[in-house]
Amino acid sequence: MQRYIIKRILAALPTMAIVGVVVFSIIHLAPGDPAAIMAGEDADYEQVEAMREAMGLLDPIPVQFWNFVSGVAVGDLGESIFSGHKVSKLIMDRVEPTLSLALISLTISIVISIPAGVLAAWKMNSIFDRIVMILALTGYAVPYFALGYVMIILFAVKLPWFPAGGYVYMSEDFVQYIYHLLLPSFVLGFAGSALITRMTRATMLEVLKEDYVRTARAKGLGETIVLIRHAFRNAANPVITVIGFSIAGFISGVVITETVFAIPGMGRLIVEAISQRDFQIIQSTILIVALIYVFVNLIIDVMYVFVDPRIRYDS
Amino acid sequence: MSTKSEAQDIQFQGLRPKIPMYRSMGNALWRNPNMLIGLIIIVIVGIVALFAPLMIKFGILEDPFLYDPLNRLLPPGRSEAGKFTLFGTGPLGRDIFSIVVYGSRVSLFVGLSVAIISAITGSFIGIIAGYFPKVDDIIMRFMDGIMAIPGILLAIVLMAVLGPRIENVIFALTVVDSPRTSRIVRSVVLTIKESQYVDAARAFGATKTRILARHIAPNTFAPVIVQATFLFASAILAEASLSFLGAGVPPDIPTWGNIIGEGRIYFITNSNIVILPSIGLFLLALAINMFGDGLRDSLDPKLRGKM
Repeated sequence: MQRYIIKRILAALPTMAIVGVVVFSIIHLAPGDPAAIMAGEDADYEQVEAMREAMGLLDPIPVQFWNFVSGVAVGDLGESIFSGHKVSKLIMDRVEPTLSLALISLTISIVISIPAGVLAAWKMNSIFDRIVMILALTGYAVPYFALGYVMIILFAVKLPWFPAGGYVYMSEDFVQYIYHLLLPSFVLGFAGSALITRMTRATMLEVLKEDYVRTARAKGLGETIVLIRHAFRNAANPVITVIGFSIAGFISGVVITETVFAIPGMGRLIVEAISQRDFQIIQSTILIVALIYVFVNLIIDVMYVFVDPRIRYDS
Repeated sequence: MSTKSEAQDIQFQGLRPKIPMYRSMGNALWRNPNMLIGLIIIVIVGIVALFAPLMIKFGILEDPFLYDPLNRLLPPGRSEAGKFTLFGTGPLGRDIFSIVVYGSRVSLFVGLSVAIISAITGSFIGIIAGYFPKVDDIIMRFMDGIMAIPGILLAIVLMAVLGPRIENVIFALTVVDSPRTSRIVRSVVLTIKESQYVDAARAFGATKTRILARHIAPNTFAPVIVQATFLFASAILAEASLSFLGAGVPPDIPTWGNIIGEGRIYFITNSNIVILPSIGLFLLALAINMFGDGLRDSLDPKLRGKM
């Protein structure tokens, strides 16, 4: 078991390194000149050169890469070209809203989708199953921003139950913090639950056909115990995998939801940085987000060990 | 005589009547009403998109490029000045119905291009990685690295570097979508590589290129086509999201994402600007997904009901 965990951690390292290389190459090797864009349309040759110097773009590429990597390793992500603030500080300020939104919406979507998927499989082809499948299909196709605006119009304007946007920090007022996050998290959670629901339903359908489920029922166990202990435990693995996949979707969704609900998170930071062409912020934020994603998937892989004893003994 | 029966098996595999892909798709259409509805909606949107420029030329449709500041932010219906608009007008006075009709061109063009190009590059990468173990690790680690960056963020960064143009949106979304396709193709290749008919072909002295082109590549078609359909839908949503965030198609081009982005700050007073184009977006993405679900069920029965 320890060997498996160590193996997974080691396997995540090259992925992280490649994320760094990819992010660095996009900014530095892609066609288009960040310095020229940064300096603005009216800048003359000298201003662009000065900007290039300030951005460290005159050093050889390997030197630039080394500066970038060694900076990241000690937590120094450089300074914002636009405002001069430390990028690490700017990101730290934005982590709480983004992580809160992602975690609460992930929780909402798990709470919605796993029971929905299990029950839909249990009552296959029933009206409940049909409704769940239609909702799941809808969740795939609905644009986050559209759902967000519809929810604001319905539940913040027409029925003033929730705030239309904004964010309250956890340390300021915990109740308000949750209250402000409910509507955006529901939007994100609904769209995110589509994939998890369909996967839960599909694997449950397969597992429910197994002999051990029939045996459990023949023993006279109650349906709830059969469904949860005998069937769902065996269906849990692919479901966890899909939850891992969908975290990337959640992060993408967070960027849009933050814009719709005016939440000052990392997504807003990137969108603002892009309108200001602040490549230092863009580069670092993407890197941090990708590292969070790799790390979360690492945790999920380690979770398998606890869910599925086969992995524990095989390795 | 096990060797003989194996040889016969191989022969029979060659002789077995194969149902052509188009026919199994045709059958599926009649059996699966969702798939048929999806296809009908896609075809209708396609026809509308095709004839949008003609409709503008003959005056059936307002010019979606026309700025009309005097008639900005009109609600749907007849305005006080007596101007009739079906969906109202945007913050710059552009006719929203025209933008919804004309915007379908950009959505379909971007969606189709991304689906086709990602399917081709993804298949190519996947086949190489799956068939040649020496490069497999390097290629797939690289793909993992790209996949670790959430799609919309990667697309935003690429757009920020490349600048707002339709071609760049297509390129950015292709970079995002190709690795996933390559992963699927690779797993198919890994299974087929070990199958008996590939062994047989190798025993007959077939070259690597021939095995790849004649025996392996054709078997990846079905999953790739299914994947491409889903990419088609997700690329349309992603294009709109990019434009909505101001990192997509140039703002003067009438697209669904652009008009939704423009109407963003007016959504409480003029919700039609955001909601009506969004409905178009939703319906098209839903139709493509419904079609894709049916396609997967008919081409790839093992995956039925999943994902």
